[in-house]
Amino acid sequence: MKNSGLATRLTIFILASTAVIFVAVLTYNYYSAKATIMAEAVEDAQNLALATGNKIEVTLNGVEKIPRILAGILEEQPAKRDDLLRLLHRALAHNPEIYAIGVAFEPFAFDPKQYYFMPYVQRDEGRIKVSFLGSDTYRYFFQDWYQIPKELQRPLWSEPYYDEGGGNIIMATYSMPFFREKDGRKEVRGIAGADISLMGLEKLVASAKIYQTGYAFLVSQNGRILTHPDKNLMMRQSMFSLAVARNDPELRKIGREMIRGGRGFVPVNDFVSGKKSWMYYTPLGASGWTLGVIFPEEELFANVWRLSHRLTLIGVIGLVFLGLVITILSRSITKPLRTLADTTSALGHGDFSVHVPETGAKEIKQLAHSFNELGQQLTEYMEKRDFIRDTFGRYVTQEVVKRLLESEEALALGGETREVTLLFSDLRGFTALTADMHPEQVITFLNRYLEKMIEILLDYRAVIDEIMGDGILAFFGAPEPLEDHPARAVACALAMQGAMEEINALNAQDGLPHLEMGIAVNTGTVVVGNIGSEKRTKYSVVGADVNFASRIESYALGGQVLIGPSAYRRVKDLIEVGDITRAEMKGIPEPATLYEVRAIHGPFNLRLQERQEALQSLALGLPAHIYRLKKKIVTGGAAAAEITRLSETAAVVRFAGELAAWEDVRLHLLDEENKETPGKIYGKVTAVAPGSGDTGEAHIHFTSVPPESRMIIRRALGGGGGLDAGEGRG
Amino acid sequence: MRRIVSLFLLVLPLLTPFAPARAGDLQTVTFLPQWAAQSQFAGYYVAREKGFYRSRGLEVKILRGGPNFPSSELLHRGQADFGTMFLSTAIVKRAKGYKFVNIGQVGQRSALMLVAKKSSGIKEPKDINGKKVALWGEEFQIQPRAFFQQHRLEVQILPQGTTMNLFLRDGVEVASAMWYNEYYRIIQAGIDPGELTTFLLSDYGLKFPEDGIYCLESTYQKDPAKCVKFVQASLEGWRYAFTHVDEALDIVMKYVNAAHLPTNRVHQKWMLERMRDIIQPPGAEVPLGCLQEETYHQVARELKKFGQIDRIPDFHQFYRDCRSPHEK
Repeated sequence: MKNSGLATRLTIFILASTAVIFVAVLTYNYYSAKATIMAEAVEDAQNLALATGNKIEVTLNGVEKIPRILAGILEEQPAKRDDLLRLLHRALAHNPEIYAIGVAFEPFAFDPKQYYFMPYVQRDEGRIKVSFLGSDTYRYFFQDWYQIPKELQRPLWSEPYYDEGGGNIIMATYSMPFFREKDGRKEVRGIAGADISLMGLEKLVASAKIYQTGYAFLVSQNGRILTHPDKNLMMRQSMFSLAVARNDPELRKIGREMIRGGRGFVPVNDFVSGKKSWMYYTPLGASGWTLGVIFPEEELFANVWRLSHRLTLIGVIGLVFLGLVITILSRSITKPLRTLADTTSALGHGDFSVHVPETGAKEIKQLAHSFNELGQQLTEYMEKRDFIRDTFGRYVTQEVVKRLLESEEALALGGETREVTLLFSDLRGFTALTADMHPEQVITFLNRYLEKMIEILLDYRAVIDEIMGDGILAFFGAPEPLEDHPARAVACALAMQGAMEEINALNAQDGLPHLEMGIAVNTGTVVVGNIGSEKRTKYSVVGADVNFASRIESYALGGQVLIGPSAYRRVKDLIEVGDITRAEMKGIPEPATLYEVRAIHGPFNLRLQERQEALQSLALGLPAHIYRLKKKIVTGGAAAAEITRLSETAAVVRFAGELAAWEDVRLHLLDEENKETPGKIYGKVTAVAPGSGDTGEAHIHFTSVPPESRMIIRRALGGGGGLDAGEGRG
Repeated sequence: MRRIVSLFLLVLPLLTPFAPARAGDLQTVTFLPQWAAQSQFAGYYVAREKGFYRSRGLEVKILRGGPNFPSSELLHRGQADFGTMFLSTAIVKRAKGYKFVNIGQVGQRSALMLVAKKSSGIKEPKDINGKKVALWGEEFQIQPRAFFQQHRLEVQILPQGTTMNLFLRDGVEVASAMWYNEYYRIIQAGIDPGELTTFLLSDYGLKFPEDGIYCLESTYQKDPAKCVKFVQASLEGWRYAFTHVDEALDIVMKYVNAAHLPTNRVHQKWMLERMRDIIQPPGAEVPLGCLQEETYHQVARELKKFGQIDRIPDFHQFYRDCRSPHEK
């Protein structure tokens, strides 16, 4: 869509601008061409009119000469009848353009006895006819050609008229008054006139060629049409009657201008066709008539219109072509943009490996290049981020990391109160066991164990709070809530115990000591959250139940999973309980009931391995030394003891001295010479009973048995000197 | 055509008991309009073309009128049976002894006027004093002369021809014009109404009705029915012309073209419309063709006052009411 948007926009803007420019140019061309043509037309008209007008005037001038000469002669001397006739005859004979010549006298002015006297010579089929006009039926005094020049006392052309003699010949008369002196005043004696037929003029005017449908015409001094291509107009219509007939007041105004002897170039609607035209008019000399030339606008501007049409057509084609070009061009520009848009979309969805081809216009290439760089940087960034997260996750539970990375709020210090299940685990006697080991060995040894335990814990979605050497503190149920966190924790603990065998097998292979782990599980409400400061924060748990869990741990024997009462309440239907111990704890008034879990049913379905724990009575007591441990440090000296009953996991020992329940002790088995064997057996006193005398009897549960000691125990149990798999050292 | 008309005339007595037409014969009569062919005589042309005369048994030959053919002269000489004339002219002639009778007063209002160009300085009657005035023949001079007497004007009178060119070329300062004709011609020669000063003579108390149909008294006495028919048909022609303007104009133009007259339809239309104003003036109660005695006496008194006549001819001798048919 973006593509067509750009193309459309470009097209519209460019085409619109181009169209505007084109229209402006076309309009200017049209009007300027029109103006040029008009100017030319005016000139042409002028020239044509002048040319035709001149020809007419020449003719008219020629006609005017005769009456003028006659008048001059008659004024000089009174003529005799015959002389006058001869004169007239000759004048007519020598002037073929004149139709007739006559001289009319005032009453009795020629002959005192004659009222009328008007000799008249006219052409008649090649001959010249002489007649004498003037009678009661032809009172020439009142004819225009006589009366008007007489009253005006000057020569003039008459208004054209139809010849009385018949035919449709239009005639006009040029009259020249001649005078005499009477009583000191000049008075008219008579009128000398020459008649002409306007047919010759008509032909002359009609012959003027004006384009195809243009024409020239003559108008009289009264505005009457004298000649016109439309014969119906001749003599009947005037400019003014046409103005009324055609309801064109403009025409009347033009007509008035014409009869006033004006000259001009004006727009008119043709009298006959009504078409828009232009008219040039000019007066014709002394006659008072006007020559008009009509140019139909259609023809006048035909070329302009044709040109304009063609230009418009070219323009339209050009615009269409331009539109196509723009569309193609814009498409080629926006294609890489489209690709970019699609690719960006992929980028947004996390696919940073995308790459756009770096082709096209310079700017597009740069954009593509930047885009690819961006993709690359993003990929690197993501890789770094993943690295950080993974690394981070090694030190902090994935879930916590996830939470932290996903939400800023997760970083906020503070916590919430939640019910979680805590899991404490510890290796029995680890410190003592590894006291003599090389540090790297210790780490290897420890990490093997921790690796497995962590794997299990993570599997069960624990949050590993702390690894304190050989001890682990984890909790279930935060930050992600887990509904089955008590059962989960118990199952995890069982799984962890179950994994010990595998680890011990590996350890035995490597000549490393046998490990025993105790696990405590307690459910309680704690505060869980970001503890610390902004510079150093730990997602951890705090609360009384945490301490309680830790206390329970101290009662857990090797291989044992102990749970507190609150946890028991939650999982009792799922578990199989082993020993139940009532432990007295410092700071807690009532002794707490601790339950040993041997198996869990339900979805987790785990069971602890049965161990040979039945105490065997020894025929011969096994001598040993007991060292009491306080916080894993031997206190006091050795106390002599005798193992009366024995199993692989525990012993009943008669001893001299003092021992308290739940005390950690170290046992050294004595050889035949009553010397301590190097193997150190660590254990926890689970019960103490007073014996006879100073002696007491203690039930000790082994937490850690070195391989050599294990051999001795086995021998004592009658297990033969059977070597354990992989037992190296004796 | 003649045969059909004859047959029709045979039937006529049965249809029109009042029309005493001679079976089979059309009476030929001549009619002279007092001027050249134009809408002024449209009624007569129409009556002829539409057969109104023929239906009454008259074959009318319309003569060509004009300034050279004064109708009073030709009537007097018997060269025309019927003719039109101004009322004032007829009264004067009658007083002089010409035995004319008025058989129908067609025009009820005077249309005669004097026109002058404002550019010649004439704005009021008194401005005419000392100027050249063109007047038509006798018949048309009575009202103007009375007008001059009325305003004590000394003028130089020249005869006016058939055109207005003398006036248009400033050969005279004042010219005669009929409102329905020459006035319009002046306008159609390019002069705007605003450039003219007009004196409609009826506005100056000279309310002389003009066109009327006349014949010799002897013509009437010999055959009054003929006169009646002529008048009735003519009036019918006028009525038809006013209600069928375009058709009437077509007929008029036919006569115009036949006489090669330099006029056009636009002009004739103006004239016909003015004729309607004259013959059937709006608001007038005088029936078509009727000459009222009072009007007659008014005109005659004016004429006597201005010395045109010595005595007033008897009205009933002068006017013969031909509007309703009656027996000889």
